[in-house]
Amino acid sequence: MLVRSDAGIAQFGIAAVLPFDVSPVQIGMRGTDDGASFEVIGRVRWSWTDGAWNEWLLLFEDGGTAWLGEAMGQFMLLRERPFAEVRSRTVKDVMKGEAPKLGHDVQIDGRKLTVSDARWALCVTAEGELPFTAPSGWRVYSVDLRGAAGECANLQRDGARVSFYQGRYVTLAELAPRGMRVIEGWALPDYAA
Amino acid sequence: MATRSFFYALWCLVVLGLFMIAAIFGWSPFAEGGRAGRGSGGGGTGGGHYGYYGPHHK
Amino acid sequence: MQPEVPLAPAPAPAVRALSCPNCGGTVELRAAGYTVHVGCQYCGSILETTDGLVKLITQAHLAQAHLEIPLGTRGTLEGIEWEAIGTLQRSQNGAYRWDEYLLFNPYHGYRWLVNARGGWSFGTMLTRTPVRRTHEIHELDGAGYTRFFAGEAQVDRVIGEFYWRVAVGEKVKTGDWVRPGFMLSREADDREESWTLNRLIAEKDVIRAFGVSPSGKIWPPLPHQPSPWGEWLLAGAKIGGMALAFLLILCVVLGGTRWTTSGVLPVAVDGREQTARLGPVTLTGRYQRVQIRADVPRLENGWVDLDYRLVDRKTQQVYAASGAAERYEGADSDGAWSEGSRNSDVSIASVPAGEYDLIVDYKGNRWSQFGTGNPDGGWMEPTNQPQIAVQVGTGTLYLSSVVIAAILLALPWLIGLILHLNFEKARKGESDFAPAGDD
Repeated sequence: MLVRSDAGIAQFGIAAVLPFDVSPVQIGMRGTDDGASFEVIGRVRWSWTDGAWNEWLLLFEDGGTAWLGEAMGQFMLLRERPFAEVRSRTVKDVMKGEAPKLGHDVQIDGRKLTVSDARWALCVTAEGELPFTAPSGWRVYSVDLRGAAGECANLQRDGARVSFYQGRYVTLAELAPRGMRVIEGWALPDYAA
Repeated sequence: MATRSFFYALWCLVVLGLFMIAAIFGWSPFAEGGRAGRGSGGGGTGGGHYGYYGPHHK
Repeated sequence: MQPEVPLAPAPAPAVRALSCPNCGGTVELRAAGYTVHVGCQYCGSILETTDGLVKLITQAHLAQAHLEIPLGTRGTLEGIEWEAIGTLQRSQNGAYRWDEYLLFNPYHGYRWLVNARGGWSFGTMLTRTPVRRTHEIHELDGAGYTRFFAGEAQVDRVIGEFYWRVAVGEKVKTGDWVRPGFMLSREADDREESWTLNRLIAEKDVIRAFGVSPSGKIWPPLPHQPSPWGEWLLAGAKIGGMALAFLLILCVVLGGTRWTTSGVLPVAVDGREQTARLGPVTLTGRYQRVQIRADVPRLENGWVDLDYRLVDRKTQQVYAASGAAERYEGADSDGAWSEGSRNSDVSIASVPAGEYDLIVDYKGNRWSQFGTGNPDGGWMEPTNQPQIAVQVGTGTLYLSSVVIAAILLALPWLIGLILHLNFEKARKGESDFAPAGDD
C-alpha cells in the first residue's frame, strides 16, 4: 500500500489479500466528473455486520481527490470538506461520540439531509495509493446522510478525528469510464465503449 | 392505439359521408312522405297520423 | 503512443462456487463482494458470505423449489443483460403472494423483476426520495402517484444471493403509490426506508428474456396497469370532436328551411272532402326536402285531414305525404284540459328539381265530447271563418339525420369511455384505499 501525503509517497507493510469481488471499477480506471478527468488510484474495502463496501480514491488532473463509494451496486461521488465548515448540531454531536438517531434531519448549507445509517465499520484491506494508512482491522464510526434529490454525505469518526465527505449519487455511465474491469462472461456496457 | 384511432377516424368519415349523401339527396328515414306512383292517383304514403282521431285525455 | 487502456489482464472470473455447510450442495456466488446472504437452492438454509467466509445462519431442509426463472438465467431487457441471482417469495401476511427476482449485472448493479398475479414489473431502487404532496399523492420527477396499498410484507421463501441480510418471516412496512404503468414502492423497517420505482413491462418481453410461461388475462387489473382505453380516449376525443364540429358547421351552412309558397284554404262547414291547388312550387336544388306546414288557427274540438300531392308539371311524377292537425279541449273533475296542436308539419324527402303543383286534399272534422255530434257547425261555422294556411318550403338537412349522425359519431368513444370506467373501477377496487362498500 502506498500512502500519498504532502511529504510524498511512502510504502507501508503488505496489506491483507483483497477478497474476490465483481466490482466493475479497478485501479487505473479513468473517467470524468463535471468535465474534470480523474483516474482511480486506490481503494479501501470496509465491512460491517451487514455487509461490505468499497471506497475508490479518484485523483483529478488538478491534484484534487474524491471518493467513489460503491455499495449495493450503487455509486456515490464524495469530496472531503473541512469539518469546521459544517455547522450542524447533530454532526457536532457525532463528533463528540454520540450516536445520531436514524431518520433525523440535518441542515447542511441550507439543504436537508437525513441520517440514513450509522454503524461501526471495519477496514478489510486497502490497495493502491491512499491519503492515509488503512490497516486491516482499523475501526471507524461511519454515518451516512441522504437528501431527497440524490445528495449524500458521510461522516467518519476515528477516535477524536472526524472527516466529512459530501456529494451525490452517480451512475457509472455519468462518469464516462474508460478502462473498466473486464469481468468474465459479461459484455462491457455501452457507456464504456 | 394508433390502429384504434385510425378505425375511429375511418368510422367518423363513413358516418359524415353518409350524412353528406343524405343531405345532398335531401333524404331521411323519418320523412313523412316521398315519391309515390306516377300519375295523379291516390292519397299520401306514410302519414302523419295513427288512424284514430279524438283526444287521448282520460 | 501509449494506448489508453494497457493490455488487459485476464478477465476477472464472474462466479465463485461455495459448498453449503448444511447440505453440501454447490452454491454459486454471482455477485461476490456485494452478496451478504445466500439462500441455498437445495435445502433452503441461509448462509452468510461476506468477503469469502461462509457461515450457516439458519438451517433448513426444504424441498427444492420450482422457480419460474431458475437462478443463473440471463436475459436481456431493453438492451441490458441481467442475471437472476436471487428470489424472494413474499406475501401480505400469507395473503396476496408475489415473487421477486433480484437481477444483477456487474456494470449496472441491481434491479428487481417482480411477478404479481402474472404481471411483471421491473424495479429500480431509487437514490432520491419522492416528495409527499398530499395524503394521497406522492411526486417523483414531476409525476404524481396515487396511494394504493399500505401494509406489511413478509418473506416466505429465500433462494439465492442478496446484498443484505435476509430471513424467512422477516417483515417490513410497505406502501405503494401508482400511476399508469408505474408503481412507487416504499419499504421501511425501524432502521431504514427505501424506495423502488417499478415499471410494468410487457409479458412478451419477459418471455423473450427469461423464458417464463404466459399467464393469460389479468383481471382485476394490476394496480399500475394502464387502462387499455385511457390514452385512446384523449386521441378519440380529438377525432370525435373534430367530426362533431364538422357536423355542426354543416348544420349551420346547410340547415334551415326557406319558405317559398303559401296559400289559404277555406274549410267547408259540411265537412266534405275539398281539394286545392297551390303553385307553382319551383324547386331549384338537384334534390331537396320539401316541408309543408299547415296552420288551422280556429281549430277547436276537431281535426283536419290533409293529403298532399306534389306533382311535377313536366313528368306528372307524384310525391305524396299526409298529415293532420287536431285540437281538443274540455273540462273534467281536475279542471280544464286541452290537447293536440293547431298545426301540422310534414316533410317529403328527396324531391328533384322542377316545377310542381301542390295538391291538397283536406277535410274538416268536428269532435263531440259526448259522441253525439255538434248541434251546430262547431269550429267549422262559417262565421268562425275556418281556414287552413299552408306554407311550402325547401331545405336540405333533416334534424333527425343530424341527431343520428351525432350519436353514431360519439358512440365508439362512449363505448370506450364505459370500458375505461369499468376497467378503472375494477383496478381501484383492489386498493386498500378503495371507497367502502365497493366490494
